[in-house]
Amino acid sequence: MYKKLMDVFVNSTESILKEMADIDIIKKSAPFTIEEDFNSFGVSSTITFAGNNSTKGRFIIDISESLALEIVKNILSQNVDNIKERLALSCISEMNNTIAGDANTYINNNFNLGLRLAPPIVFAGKNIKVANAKLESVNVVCETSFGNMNVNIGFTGGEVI
Amino acid sequence: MKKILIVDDSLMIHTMLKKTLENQGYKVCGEAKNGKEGIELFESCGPDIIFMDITMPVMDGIEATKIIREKNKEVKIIMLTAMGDDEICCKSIGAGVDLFLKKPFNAQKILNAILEIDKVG
Repeated sequence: MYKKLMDVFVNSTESILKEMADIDIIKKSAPFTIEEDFNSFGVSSTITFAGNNSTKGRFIIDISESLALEIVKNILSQNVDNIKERLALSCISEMNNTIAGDANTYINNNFNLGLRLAPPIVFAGKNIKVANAKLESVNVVCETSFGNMNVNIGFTGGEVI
Repeated sequence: MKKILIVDDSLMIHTMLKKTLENQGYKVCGEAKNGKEGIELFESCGPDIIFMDITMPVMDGIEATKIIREKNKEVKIIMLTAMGDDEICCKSIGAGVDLFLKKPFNAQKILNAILEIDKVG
């Protein structure tokens, strides 16, 4: 189940990152399960969704600060010094929304789950732990020329696929 | 000069749309962060075109579109969406949306959408 879903989200991440920010993912880890907390690379955006048969899920992109700054620079065509600026965080949040929208559209059209997105949240800081309370998730670490990125999804409830 | 209202909860989308539209000579007459604010600004600024997001807090874009359509049949509404599945498309068209603009988009896609909507009349 998770393998199929993970592939959808990783493919969407790869294509949207390229289209929005012109950045390539050059290497990906194999998917691995995370049952507890994990250390953030520095900038995280989370989006939740829910659909038919009590299916619920959440999708996290967790990005190193250097990669986040490059993404923001490329999207806005201007340099941003501080990733904590509202406009910079908005870019990361919007990218998360766009990736999740793209992936959920594919899932809805192919698996009829009727998933709907909630607005994303985003935060940035050093030594932050992302708590995975009550939800086992699957993670893929993506490498780019500008830094690393975790792609993390968790689903619960219903027969997903 | 065409007047445009932007309704979206993303600062990035506001910044990108406003920059692109004003560079091309359009007037952004209002900027709203959710559907409810969008309806209020629609009344006060009288736009020719509305760029409307779907997923927003307080009131979503489909609900806001329905309410605006009850008041005005002429204004053109371009739906900005990260989701493009069949159900969303049907609901949006039923609410009175004229055109979809799928995220992500760039300046060229924004301007093409305006040209396309002009052709529809």
